[in-house]
Amino acid sequence: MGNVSLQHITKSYGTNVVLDDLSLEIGDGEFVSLLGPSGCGKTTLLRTIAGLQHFDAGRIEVDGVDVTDLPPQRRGIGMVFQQYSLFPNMTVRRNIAFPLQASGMKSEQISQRVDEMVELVGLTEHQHKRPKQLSGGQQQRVALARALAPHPRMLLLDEPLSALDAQVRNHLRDQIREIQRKVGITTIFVTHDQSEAFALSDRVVLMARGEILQAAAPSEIYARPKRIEAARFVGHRSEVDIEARHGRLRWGKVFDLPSAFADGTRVTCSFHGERVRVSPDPHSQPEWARATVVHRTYLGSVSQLRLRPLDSDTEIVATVTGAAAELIHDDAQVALHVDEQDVNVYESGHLIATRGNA
Amino acid sequence: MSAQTVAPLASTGTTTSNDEADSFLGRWGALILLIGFLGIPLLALLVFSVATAWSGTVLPSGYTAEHWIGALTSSDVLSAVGRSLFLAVAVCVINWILVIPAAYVSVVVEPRIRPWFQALAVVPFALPWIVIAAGMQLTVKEIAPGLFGTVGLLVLTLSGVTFPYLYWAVENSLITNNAKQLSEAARMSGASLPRTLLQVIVPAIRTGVMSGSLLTAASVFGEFPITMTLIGGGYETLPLWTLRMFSGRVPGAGAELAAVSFATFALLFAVSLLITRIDTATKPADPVRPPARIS
Repeated sequence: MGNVSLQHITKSYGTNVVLDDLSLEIGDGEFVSLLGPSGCGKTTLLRTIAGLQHFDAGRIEVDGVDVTDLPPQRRGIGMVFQQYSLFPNMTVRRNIAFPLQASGMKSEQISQRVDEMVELVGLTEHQHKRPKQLSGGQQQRVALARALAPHPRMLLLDEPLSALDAQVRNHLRDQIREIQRKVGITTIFVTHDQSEAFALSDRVVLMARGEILQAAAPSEIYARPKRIEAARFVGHRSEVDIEARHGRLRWGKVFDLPSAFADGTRVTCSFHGERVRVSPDPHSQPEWARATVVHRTYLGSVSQLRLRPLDSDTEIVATVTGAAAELIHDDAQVALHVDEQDVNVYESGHLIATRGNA
Repeated sequence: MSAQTVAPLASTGTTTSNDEADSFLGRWGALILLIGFLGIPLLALLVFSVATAWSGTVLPSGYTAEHWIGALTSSDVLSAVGRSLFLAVAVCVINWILVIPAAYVSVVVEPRIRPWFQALAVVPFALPWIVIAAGMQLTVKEIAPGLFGTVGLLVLTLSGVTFPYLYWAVENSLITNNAKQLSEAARMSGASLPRTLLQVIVPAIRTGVMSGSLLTAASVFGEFPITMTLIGGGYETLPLWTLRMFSGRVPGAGAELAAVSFATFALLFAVSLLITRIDTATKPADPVRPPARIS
């Protein structure tokens, strides 16, 4: 079991509202990521659930039981911290055994459970070492084993990968997901890295300024962010302000989609960089718009282009792969186009239409 | 391609004799100066304590262990050492009980009170200890006359004036060891506060506790104005015995005094070395031995 219900959680520091009447339901065994920029309140929310952070108003239920006033050690929640927080005076085994000793478990059962946990996280050969003798990734695996050892109802992960280098991070990310699936524990994961959130989660909760912008499956968040703020945070999107005319939303030859808006209505059209179709030959597609490459950022497998259509002052971002990533350079002339189904339309900051059904 | 003259890099891994000389001076010069500054007086003290007579010559005319034997078998010296040790241990224990939890609260639980503790920890340095002793005497006379003139009052007063040594060391250790995070991790592991303190926090900050305790013990060991003010010569600690030897002009007392002083220094130095070794020796358990039973 591990259903979590957050009801109208509010937390302020003076006039600064950190959590703004926030409610969220998390199902048993679900892997949920709290995603958002620094200062959006995601870590505060996680610490609130853990019981490490007091809040001004609201209620937290775990499996239908009100835990709002319970101290952290009585909530039955395991937590992994960003900076490992392993006990430096204890070996790996003793770190993992610590919560079991605290729960009053018999020493034989403790030993057996510790054996299971070191095997689960693949640290059998390091079990008698102290934290200082382990790499960052190994330390975080110990922290994960320690958090899972006492069979908690829920697992909280506070940016556990952010202190690791890229290769270890990817490996541990996959391992966390694998272990979570094996154990089947409800998990709440805090991150500011959208690729981590998308790779790990059943559901992503996108936060900004202490409120939830959107809670949905990763693909839904990526393709159809409900608020323009969410669209700005996820992926590399471009925005163009357009006025509806004659039942169309048209931006030169870049895109042209049908619209139900009254003439003169101003809307914001948003699309992902990788949805911008770019041809290195500006004359290859006469029906496409022509644009100048303002700047190319070469990233190896892809190149990111800042493009300015010839008849516009607005710049957009495009992500190109393959030969185009190599061929296209600064100041080059290219042809570009965005398909109508790839344009999201926002009015007053809210998603109105997508996939060309405006 | 045009021919270009490439200037060699100024330092490309070859070491000149000047570099070596600089390195030698930098590495050993400061050490030799320090040893000379601190070591020569100590050596002179040691030589004086084993000299039969030392006057008008570079080195003593003869050597003897008589002063050491005399000092270390003297009932006065042994009693004084015992009293000083008792005071040092009692003050350390009281400070552990009061200061470690207070420092923990100020760093981990309620950081807003930390400036108050820090201000409090400056007081014994700002006020002469003898004034603090006089203040304690006046206060105790009013509110707890039973304590007046007792060893208990002396222990309490010494705890009060020496607590900053332990506080600063422990506070610094708590901060550098991320005690807040360790404490949160322990609580999330289901540990009570006493278990968190005893099994996680204190072991993590043991170096700070030990070095703070050493400073406390050393200052109690060498303290005499407060003892004189509160109890007087009736409770002769080692510094008071030293004072008596100086002022009494007892024949041969100088050499005995030198022996006791050097022994005290050697003891404190040994403890200090031990602390350093404990700090650096975070030896792992043998990674290949079979899993230990965890009790």
